[in-house]
Amino acid sequence: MGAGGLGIAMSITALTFFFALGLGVREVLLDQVFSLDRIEVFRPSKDLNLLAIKVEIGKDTINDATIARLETIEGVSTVYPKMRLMMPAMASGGESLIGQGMQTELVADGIDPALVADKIGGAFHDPRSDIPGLNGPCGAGSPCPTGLVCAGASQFRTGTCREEIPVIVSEHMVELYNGAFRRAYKLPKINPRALIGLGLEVRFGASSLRPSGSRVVHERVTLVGFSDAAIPLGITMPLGFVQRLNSELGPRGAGSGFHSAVIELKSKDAAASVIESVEALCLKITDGGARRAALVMKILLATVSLVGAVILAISALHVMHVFALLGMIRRREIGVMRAVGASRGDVRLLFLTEAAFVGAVAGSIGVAISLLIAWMADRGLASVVPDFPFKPETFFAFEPWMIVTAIALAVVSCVLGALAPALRASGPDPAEVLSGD
Amino acid sequence: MKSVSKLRWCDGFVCDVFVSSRLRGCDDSTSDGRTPGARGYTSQVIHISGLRKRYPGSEQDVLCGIDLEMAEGDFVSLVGRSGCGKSTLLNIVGGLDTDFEGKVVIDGRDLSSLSDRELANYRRRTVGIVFQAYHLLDHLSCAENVELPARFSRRDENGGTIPRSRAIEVLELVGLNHLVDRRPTRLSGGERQRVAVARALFNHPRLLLLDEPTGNLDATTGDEVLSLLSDLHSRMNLTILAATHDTAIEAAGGRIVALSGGVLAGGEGETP
Repeated sequence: MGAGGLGIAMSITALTFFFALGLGVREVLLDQVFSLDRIEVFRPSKDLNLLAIKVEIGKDTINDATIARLETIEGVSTVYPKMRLMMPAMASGGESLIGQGMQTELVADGIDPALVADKIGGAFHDPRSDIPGLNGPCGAGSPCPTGLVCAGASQFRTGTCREEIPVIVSEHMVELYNGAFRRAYKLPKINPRALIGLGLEVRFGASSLRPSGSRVVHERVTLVGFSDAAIPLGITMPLGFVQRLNSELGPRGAGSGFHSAVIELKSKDAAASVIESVEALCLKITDGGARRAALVMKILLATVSLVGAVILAISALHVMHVFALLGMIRRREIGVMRAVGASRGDVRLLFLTEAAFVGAVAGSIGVAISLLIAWMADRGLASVVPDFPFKPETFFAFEPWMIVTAIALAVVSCVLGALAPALRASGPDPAEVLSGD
Repeated sequence: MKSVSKLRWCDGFVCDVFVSSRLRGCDDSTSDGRTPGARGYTSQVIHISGLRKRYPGSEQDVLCGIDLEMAEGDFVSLVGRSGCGKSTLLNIVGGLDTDFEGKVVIDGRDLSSLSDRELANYRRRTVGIVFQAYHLLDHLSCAENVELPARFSRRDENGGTIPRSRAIEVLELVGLNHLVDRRPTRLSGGERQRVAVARALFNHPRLLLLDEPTGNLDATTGDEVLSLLSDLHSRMNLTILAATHDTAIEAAGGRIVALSGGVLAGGEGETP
């Protein structure tokens, strides 16, 4: 019986080790390399190629009905629509930061503040419209009430009292400035955290590339934080503000269509199926890496499961062989038990109970050995493998359910393996067995 | 009072034996004053009719239509050469062999109609078997061997009796209470056979089957075992069917039934 138990223990060791390795690598991939808790989707435009230009055919926006359908997909937690600013804009300012004023064309979009609430907090919010003094005139001699700033004032014109529009930017923007932009213009390097609170004047509707429209809206924006949800090169504002601006100053219908949506998943495991459902709605995901990560995850777990299943099946066969041998060795003992009053069911129960016990003990030993080997592997890898991005502290993930399942599988394998031998051992009449002695 | 034997002939051989075992007082009133219903009153324990047995692959029957009746308290010796079918008959009566034809009614129950579980209950509670080879389990102590039937008892079957207490009690009965924890490998042949007898008596059986109980013992030890069996028979009014070559056992028994190659070579006995 020790031989059978040893085989089961080694099988459970291998199964648990490889499954924990698979889950551990999966966690690194999904938590750090490809964060699959959110995916961004958009509707691709159908373009007509005319020489050097493309003519758009049809709309490439996502409407409210599509947003509602996305929210019903199995595995989707919340959907956050995003809307691009549909008019030119120019920003100016920066004297306090780099010592001189700057003016630049601005690209912007709007997102739901709830999307970044966990990171930015309440600072990023849709501007209020009920502040006393809002939209009142202001200038050098007439400041705005508390909570408002004077936007658009100059020596030639009166400004308007407005609430500062909170904006967020991507950290890549800072890296781009510090890495390339500042060198070209001989500007000082800046600390990203020092930018919090930086204010800029923005003229929505104005552009240096073409004549400004009939209406230009002056606003003052203030940087409240950084997030990877922000547009890569530009500023991101609250969705409600962008929607209103697009409706007032943009083309007709600009305030009603969303250009993309961020889908928050209930779990990373749902990524693959959600992507499939999204594509069924003729939408695409912005990040191809997410799809590849989901595919890698699927293949990895399928492979590990297959290896584990094969190992267990072989072990069950081994257990069957061991118990068949035991049945032969214990034939006389079984005959004696039957002679003194054991029924066939009693003999089968005896075999299966012993098998279950062997499975439980062997499974526990197997799990313990796999934990030990994993610990040794982590220690070895930590000291031998050089640091690399996203290098984890451990390559293994041992969950309580996995340990319980491994032991249960060991028990089931042993019981199944002992079933046929139990039936065979309990079959003959006692006289047939004992007469051979 | 003589026994009544009826013989049935087939092909020149006696192939049916009807042995009516009647002790003194088997009728309504006994010569020693025992009355029906009183302790010791004889009732039929074994009723066998037309028993036939052929082993798979064999061309002839090993038992060819056996008729046998035994009353409570009978001690019948089954004699014959090796291979004549004595052990086969005992195996069938003991419920160890279910492949037979004919009627075998033990203590009012037709063995051929019992399920596997009912047959197991029968082997555990109604009959006790002592084998020539003892068939003790070497990895168990004497007490554990004796109480082995209790392992397969159903709930409440033992009436609250603790198996170990009963095991010690029967070991005391056979004079081995000082060897409770000893393993069979450390016992003599006679001691092992006594342990086997104790195991057979564990569940207060109505019928005790002995298959060559002294076959593996020397004469002195065999006499000791025989003495024990005789003592138990008289004290506990056990019904005993013993297959034996031992003339001493034949003499100790009240009846002799002879088998030869599965058919009767002849034989009747008298009440001592």
